[in-house]
Amino acid sequence: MTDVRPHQDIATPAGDIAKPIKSELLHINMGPQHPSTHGVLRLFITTDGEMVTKVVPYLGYLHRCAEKIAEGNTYHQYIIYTDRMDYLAAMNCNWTYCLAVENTLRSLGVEVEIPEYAEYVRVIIGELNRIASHLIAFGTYGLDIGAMTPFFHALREREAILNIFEKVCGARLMYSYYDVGGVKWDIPDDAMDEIKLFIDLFPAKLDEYNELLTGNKIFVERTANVGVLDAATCIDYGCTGPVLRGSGVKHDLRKDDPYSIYDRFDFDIPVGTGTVGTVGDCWDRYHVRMLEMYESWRIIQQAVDRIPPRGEVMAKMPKNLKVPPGQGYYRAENPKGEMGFYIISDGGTVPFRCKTRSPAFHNLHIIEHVGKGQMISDLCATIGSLDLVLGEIDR
Amino acid sequence: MHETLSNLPLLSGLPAQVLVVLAMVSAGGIILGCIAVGGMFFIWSERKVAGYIQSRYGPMYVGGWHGVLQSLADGVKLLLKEDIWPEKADKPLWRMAPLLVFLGAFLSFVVLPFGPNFVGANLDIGLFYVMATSSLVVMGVISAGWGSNNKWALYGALRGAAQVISYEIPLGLALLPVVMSTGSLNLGTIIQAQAGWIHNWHLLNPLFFVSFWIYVISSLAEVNRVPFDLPETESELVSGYHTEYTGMKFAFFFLGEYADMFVVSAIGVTVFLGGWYSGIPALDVPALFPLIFILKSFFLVFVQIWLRWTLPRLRVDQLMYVCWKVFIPIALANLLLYGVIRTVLS
Amino acid sequence: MTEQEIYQRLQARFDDSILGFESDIPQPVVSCTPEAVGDIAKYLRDDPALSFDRLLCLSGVDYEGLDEKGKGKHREINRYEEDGTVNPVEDPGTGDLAVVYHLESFKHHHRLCLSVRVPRETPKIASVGHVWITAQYGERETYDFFGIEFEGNPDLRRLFLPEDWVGWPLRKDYEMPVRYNDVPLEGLGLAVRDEQ
Repeated sequence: MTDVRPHQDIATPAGDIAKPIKSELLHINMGPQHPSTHGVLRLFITTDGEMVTKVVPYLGYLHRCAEKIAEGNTYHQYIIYTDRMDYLAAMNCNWTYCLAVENTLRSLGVEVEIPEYAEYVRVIIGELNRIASHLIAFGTYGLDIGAMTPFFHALREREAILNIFEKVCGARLMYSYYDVGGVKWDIPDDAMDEIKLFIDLFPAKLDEYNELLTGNKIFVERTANVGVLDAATCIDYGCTGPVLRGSGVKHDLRKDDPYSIYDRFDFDIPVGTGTVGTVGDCWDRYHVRMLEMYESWRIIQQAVDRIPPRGEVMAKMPKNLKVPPGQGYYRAENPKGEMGFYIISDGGTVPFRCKTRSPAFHNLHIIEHVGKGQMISDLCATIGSLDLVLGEIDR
Repeated sequence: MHETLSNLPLLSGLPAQVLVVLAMVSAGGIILGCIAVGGMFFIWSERKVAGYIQSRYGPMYVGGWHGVLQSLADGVKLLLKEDIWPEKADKPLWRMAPLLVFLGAFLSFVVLPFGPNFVGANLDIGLFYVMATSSLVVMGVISAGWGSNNKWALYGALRGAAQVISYEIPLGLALLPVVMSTGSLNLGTIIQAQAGWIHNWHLLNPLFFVSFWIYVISSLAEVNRVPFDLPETESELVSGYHTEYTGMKFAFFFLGEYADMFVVSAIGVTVFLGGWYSGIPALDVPALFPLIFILKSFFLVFVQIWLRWTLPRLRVDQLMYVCWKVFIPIALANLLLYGVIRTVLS
Repeated sequence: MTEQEIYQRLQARFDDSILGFESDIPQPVVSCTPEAVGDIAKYLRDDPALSFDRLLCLSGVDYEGLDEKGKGKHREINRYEEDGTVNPVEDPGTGDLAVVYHLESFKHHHRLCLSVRVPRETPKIASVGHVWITAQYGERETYDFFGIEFEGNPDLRRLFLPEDWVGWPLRKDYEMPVRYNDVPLEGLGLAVRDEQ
């Protein structure tokens, strides 16, 4: 297992007794219980001193057979399992799944007319969850770099969002709020007031985060020029979301392949610019998330301003949902990247096959490439900047 | 101290050797008590300061007012915990490590001058002694890392060794100009050179001011605090060299760290911040000396806590860069400059 | 470029290897032979008019129980009764397995769904891992769940399940093993306890 090789870099004393110093590579399990692998990711790393020479991810510690379960549950029943995929952005996972089912229905000739009010509710709640997910990414990234305080500040604002979600659907983590054809319940008045309050307060908090971490000299030293991913590599590895955008590719399904009512809102797609280092370094990915929170805030603000008067939140859907035989792959922009569902229906009430394309699964793969030749600390910084959630990697 | 003891009527009949042993034991007990109580106070205050910085409360329940007894409860909990031994640990080293770490801090307390007559041992080479004993910590760190038979712990230990040995140099170099100025390594003498008004403090001498900052930053590295907490780095190395320790052994590491924080702060106060003098001659009454000294040291400890909860952490190569390419040249230049100026002026 | 044009282009280039084109559905599907998929993938990526630089999703499918028109009686996954018995699947599956590639081009913003059926008895297909690196993980996942072997994948191991797991769970005729490494599996715990 251990390969022994002469180390060329170490100077050896002159004379006959001098022998080249032998050094061994060290094999370490990073995870499944490790603070910076963000869950139960196990990386088998080979190190030469502080340098990592090889990274091999081992997955499956959180595998819950979601795709098998999908084949035994009705389209409605499977919604709750999508919660458990990206558990930090469960609303978005629900939404993507419901969107996929609705689009599959539409493409097969079944009319699904989602009320406009429900579409606005979906956008508001989905973008709030995007902010919540990015807040966790921001906070835990601080932890990875060694700054504890941003995490608590991020959780403080996430708490406000979770309180809103609790009022909206009664749950704080696993919402199952979106349904095929709309959303399950209307937003209550006090939750709407809280959303408005959140809109008022959030930009100041965002400035606070930037003051705390973004410009910090040590933080910049740790993240700039670290884990650089160029655009071509990112595309080759199937990276999406902030990882791809951090490498300077302006790709966001909300703009490029608009779904729901995103074409009605005015927002920008932030991309990595290499402000403090190279385009596509850890800092860029981090900064893209920070800017995206601001863009989400803009979308929520516009949606709350323009939301139509209260009305139906559900389309008229049959109680026992049957999808005609057919197939379709539909996707949406989740906080972690592009999430998609490939649904094959055999005409019954349960999917024949429901494959999930999870963004973090593809984003994880690149760690094999970028982890080589980094220091252990940089590897932690890189993993953090990819913002992995094992729930959707292992499914 | 044994003179004091022999003056007590109860013990006056005892032979001198017994008295010496008794004196040593009681002095050790007092220091141990101070460290334990002080350490607990620091842990509690660190949690409260961290809570304040992170917009939360910190401990609130144990002991009534703001959880003052939280550390005591934690200490009791740690005492009662199962002592888990890694099966393939190097037992003697593994057992010795927490004691070595604690011993380093413990021995340094002997010479800390809380007042002109309030010092464990008034050594002529007090400063040198403190530097020497605080280096003992690194022996503990290495033996903990090696003895644990854990790769993460080994990484922590190697980082710790590299870091502490490197930062001893700027730390020592930063203190040297002051030693040149006072002509003594005795901590009491160094403090007495700063008597009188506040402008006599070494901190306010421009060259010593540079030394002071080098000292403060290097001392952070010396006691493994953020942004230099690389031997622990809970997000990279799980918990560094004390990953495998539980219960009271872990508590010793913990206590040793906080005691070390106080020691480096106290030395900083002694050398640069006027020691037991308040800076206002009217306030300098002997009864207040220990209080002033402790308050000043607490302030420096507070600065360390403050930094810990504000800053991210450096990478190991950046840490070495800062030490060898920034601090050591500056400290050497500062030393040289002070030497030249002093020679010219005299 | 529409799917129809892509199909014609592919047919002109790969003639026999392109098996068919389902065009009357919203996301048309091109199907091809398993041996040729490596070359076709390379062509799809490198041809400047196509330049499919993104592999969105690589899915395995087991068509067991689905008739020609895509209709079929859905086979239920194994049910575990309360008394610990399991309803086994009576007959082994006969339908084809398939690998489905969803591709997209950043340059031209067109998409393609490429479906490759492989026989159930000898599920072998050429790997596209050298064309889109992201396929390497997708192929491992598909191998893990369907037992489809990707020839040319540099590291074809199970991805999620343990190396010594028996069976291919997402196949429709999969039967859950009673034990894994002497650990009674879920639902069967009662029955196993009774045996002892």
